[in-house]
Amino acid sequence: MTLEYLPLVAALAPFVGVIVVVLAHRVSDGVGDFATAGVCAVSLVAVAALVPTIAAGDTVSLSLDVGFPVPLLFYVDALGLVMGVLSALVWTLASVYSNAYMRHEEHRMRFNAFSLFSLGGMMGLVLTGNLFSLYVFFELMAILSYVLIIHEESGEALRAGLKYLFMGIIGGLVLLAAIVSTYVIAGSVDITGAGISGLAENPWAIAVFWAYIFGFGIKAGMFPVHVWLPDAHPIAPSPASALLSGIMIKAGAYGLIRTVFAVFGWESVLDLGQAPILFALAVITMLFASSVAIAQTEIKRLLAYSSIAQIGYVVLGVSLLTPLGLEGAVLQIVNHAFMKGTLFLAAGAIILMTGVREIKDFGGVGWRMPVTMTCFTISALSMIGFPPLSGFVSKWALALGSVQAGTEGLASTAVAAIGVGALLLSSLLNVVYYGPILTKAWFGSTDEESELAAAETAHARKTVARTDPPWQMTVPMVLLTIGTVVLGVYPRPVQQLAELVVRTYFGGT
Amino acid sequence: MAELMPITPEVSPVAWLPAIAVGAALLGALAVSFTGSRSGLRTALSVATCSIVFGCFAALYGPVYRGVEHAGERLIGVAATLASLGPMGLTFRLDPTGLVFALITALVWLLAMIFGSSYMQHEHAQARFAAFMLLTLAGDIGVLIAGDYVTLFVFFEIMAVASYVLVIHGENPQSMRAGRLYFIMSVAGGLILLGGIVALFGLTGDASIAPEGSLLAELPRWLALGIPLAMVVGFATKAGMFFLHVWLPEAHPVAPSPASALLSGLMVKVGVYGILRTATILLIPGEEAGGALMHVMGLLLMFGAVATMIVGMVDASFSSNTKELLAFSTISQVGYILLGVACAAYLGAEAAVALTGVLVYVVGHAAAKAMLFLTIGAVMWRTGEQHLSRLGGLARKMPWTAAAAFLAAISIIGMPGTAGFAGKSLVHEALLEVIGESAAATGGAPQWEFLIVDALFVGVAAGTFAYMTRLFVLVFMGKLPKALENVRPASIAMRLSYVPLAVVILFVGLLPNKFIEWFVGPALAYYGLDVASESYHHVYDVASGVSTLPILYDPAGFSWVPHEIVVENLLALAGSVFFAGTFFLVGNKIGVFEMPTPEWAGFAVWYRRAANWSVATTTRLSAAADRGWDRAVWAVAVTPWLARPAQVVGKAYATVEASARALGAASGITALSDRLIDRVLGLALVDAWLSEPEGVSRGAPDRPPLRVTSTDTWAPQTEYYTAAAWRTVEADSKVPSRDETDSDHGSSERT
Repeated sequence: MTLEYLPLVAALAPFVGVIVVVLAHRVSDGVGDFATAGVCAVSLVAVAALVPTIAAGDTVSLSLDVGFPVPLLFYVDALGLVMGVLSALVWTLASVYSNAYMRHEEHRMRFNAFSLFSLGGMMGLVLTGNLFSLYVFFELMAILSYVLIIHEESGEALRAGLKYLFMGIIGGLVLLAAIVSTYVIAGSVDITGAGISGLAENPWAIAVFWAYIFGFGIKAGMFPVHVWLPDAHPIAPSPASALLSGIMIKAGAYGLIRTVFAVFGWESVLDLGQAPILFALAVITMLFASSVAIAQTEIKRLLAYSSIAQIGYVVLGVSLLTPLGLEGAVLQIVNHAFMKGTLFLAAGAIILMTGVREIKDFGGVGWRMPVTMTCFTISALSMIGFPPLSGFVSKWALALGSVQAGTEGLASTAVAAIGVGALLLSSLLNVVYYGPILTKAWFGSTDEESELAAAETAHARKTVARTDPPWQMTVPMVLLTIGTVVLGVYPRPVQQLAELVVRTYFGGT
Repeated sequence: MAELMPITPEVSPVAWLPAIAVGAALLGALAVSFTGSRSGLRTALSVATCSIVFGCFAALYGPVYRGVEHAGERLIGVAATLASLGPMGLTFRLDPTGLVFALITALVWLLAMIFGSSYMQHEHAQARFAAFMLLTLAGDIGVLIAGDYVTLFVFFEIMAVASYVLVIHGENPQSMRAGRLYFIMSVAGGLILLGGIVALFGLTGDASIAPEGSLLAELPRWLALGIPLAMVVGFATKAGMFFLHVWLPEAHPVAPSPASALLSGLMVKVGVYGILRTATILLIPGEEAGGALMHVMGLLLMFGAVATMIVGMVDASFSSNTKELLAFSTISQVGYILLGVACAAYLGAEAAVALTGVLVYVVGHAAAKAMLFLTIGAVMWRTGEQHLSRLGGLARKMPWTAAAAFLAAISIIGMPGTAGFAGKSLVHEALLEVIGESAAATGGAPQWEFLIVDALFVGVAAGTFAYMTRLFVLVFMGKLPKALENVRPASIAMRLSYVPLAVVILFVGLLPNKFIEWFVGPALAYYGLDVASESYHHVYDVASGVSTLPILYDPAGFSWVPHEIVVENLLALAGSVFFAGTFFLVGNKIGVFEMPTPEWAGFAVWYRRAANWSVATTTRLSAAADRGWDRAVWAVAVTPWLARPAQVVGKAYATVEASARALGAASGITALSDRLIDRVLGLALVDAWLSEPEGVSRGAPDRPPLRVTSTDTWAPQTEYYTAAAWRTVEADSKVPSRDETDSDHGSSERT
């Protein structure tokens, strides 16, 4: 059955594709960029071809013995499929975007090659069925994406990269220790089921649990191990920022979901009694990162803090241990990829075309770059959680999951109340930091400015030159924005996939 | 309640009309946003869109009020579901109450659009304004036709975002400031509402807005009261209820007048609508638990309503800006409407009069307040003035506008023959019922709180008379300022837009019972009212479809002697007019209304301070904590890794350097001591034994002295004779020296 080889193709295509890209760069850098996008598209097609099978409730697996103690196991279930399609899709669009964005940058071949390596790692880690395979790809992605972060090779970038690298390595080693312990304790590293038997009963289970949370939490940018993220994400070139914030931190979130639901099983996690702490960390992540985001003056740094807060939503959904909470977490992963992808791409376009990085200089950007700023606005409103955009869909599911946690899962009224309260408060904080950007960009005037200045702005708008970026940049942004709207207005398909994930772990219909 | 089954799309496609209306408004907004500077096309498109929306609701009159026969059943109202849209599917359901709101909304919106077509002529960003007007319309009617609270919330938020753009249209510092307050409070209110909806849906699995069953009956008491309370707070923010009203007097006046008319006339009614639905449908009247909760909710609402009435009235009295005065007036009037809602909640199953009062008041106030904003807008448009002291005597210059404003003002005051009178009479009647109920409950005297409310009701009515008179007199009567001598009448489009509003005010005012029969009566069936109660029969008899409640006259039979209820209301009115007239005349004489109000007297300043302080503090603390933690992590996770290689290399380097130095020094010392020994030995062993021949000096003869050659660029070198010897030997075969490669000219001199 050829279908089984599709995840292998999806994960290996980027690695093999690097050769094509390197050759294409010999023709020209532009061709190289499109070759990169093409390779990503191959990966996308390969994984998207599995949608009908997975949507029908089946799974696909392929075992390869390559000499590791545990065979490489490619395995696709609903969660892996969602992550895979999402990653390849956003990667393809970001690659097209970088064709125009990276025009004035150096080392474009290196950028594209390592972008593909990272995609390969990402695809591999979400399409595998055991922890050893997952770890191999996880480390590949974590280490190789370092090159994307330090792309500009400035002192600041190198510093941010060092922090990323060292925290990533520490996280990776702790994760490896967790995986090895799991193997030693339970004799299995299989994550295709709903919990490895024999693991949670071990006295060391709590330590192993936190080792997993630490390892994946670092990658996810969860409080308190988030500190690398606000340095590393903004300093990378914008297409890489979009991928880092939109997709790659989701590798950590994905890992957290697998840890709670596939490695331990949610009932074991509940018995271990650690979920309330995870819940508390999630709430702190949401509120703390949002508060810090308010203090940011630089657009990409603000977006990075916003990413941390949004990852908090995912962790919240996971820690509730309720079906709707998990559904909300999956929806949040998908929706946030679209929203944050757009926001970083739009921010990159603004920085490229106008040179404006500081929010206080955003006045009139909306009139100069209407398409870009419209995408930014819709995504930011979605981020805040305004219906009928996709952010509302995931927020709604998470809030319902919190209410559900009053009687199921964590089964505590306090958790339900705090969960809903934190979601609402976080939305309000989102308004506080996204609001000024939007009003500045579209309406320009501030308290300090005189009415005369406002009138001048109004007049200037008619004459201002439109400087939306070239199509390579606008098309990906617009497509992602359309995705945000569609996922908000018509979320049913993704909801069904998320329900499949829920069914995997909670059973029932 | 089988008789309340709605018409579904399977029965008749007419059930899709509400959804079509919303869709038309959305499409209209999209189309209008691309009109650019083609103002004719824009006006045509936007007026056409509003007409379609109004047409949809007008066409629904029959199905919603009269119903259709289907399979032996009478179906009333319409319901349709778009199951695949939004997180939970969108459900639309329109019952008579919703249609009352929807009809007046669509009508006033249409008129505001017509008015705006000439008002906005010289404004900037006209396409944006028109597009967001239509988007706001979509949100507004979406709330009114929503069949469940989730759908309602979706449209509620669309309205909030879209109307923000209307508020800040001027983009000057005041409007941006007001807009920010409006937006933040809207969103905060919306989130509290969402919290209530999430809890409602999460706990009961049902969020539909329909009198179908006891949603809250099985919940613990704190939730059964907390959920509706959260929702009421959310809606109250939009309605401008006291302590949540601070955004309203800032946001309504800064918007362009057509938008102000909609904000004040209609959008606050969305909040009222939500409170009405929550307080009287979510809490089930009649059932024991629900009934008791309604009682509590009624009392809470009554407190809020009275405070809102008073605050709005007092602020309006001291306002000198026409539009601001009207905005304060809106707050006060919403207080009256909420008082009606509170009475309805308190009375539960016997709330027929109260609910009728609410609906009549809503329609009357929507028409009158929209008319006032439009007329004052026309005055602003022609004169550019909105300060009372710089206006006056305009009745001669703008007679139609003055007449329209007069009608609207007396309706707000509550003069007989206007919608305001009908509404106030009914709400007052409901209040009297509450007093009677409280007396019956205790079996003795009525509760004193309600008597105070009654007194305040009349007192605020007096205040309303005073400030409305002041507004009208100072704008349209008296002496015409010199600057305004060339003022021209309002445009045709503007004058046209007054007419339907005047018709509404007069129709509701002169034929209140007909209005009840046609529009309100069928709506009452949805509130689980006690059909057997006396008040219900008075207001509307289900069987005959006749209303016999004496409001302006006694419909049972015309008589020159008015019915006692009417007399009572008229007397109360006369009293308030007398007091207010005196108050107004005296106050105006001594200039008490012109007193500047200090900033701290407004609530907004404290809200802003509190919000700014809390955001700034949290933000600063969080940012500092984050920085600190970042440093700590850097020190723990990164520095050791960085430090070790550097230190090792550094130390190794230093060691090598030091030993090299030591070696150099040692070799120097060795060389010196070698020579020293050589000399000493030479002296002691050789020279001492030699005789001293002529011409031969003592000491070692062959070796040149140790010398330091200092070259121009290189580091000082120690040259020994061996090196010098090497250099002389190798001199010819050596690579060119630095001097030669460095410079092409002048090298000959150096060598």
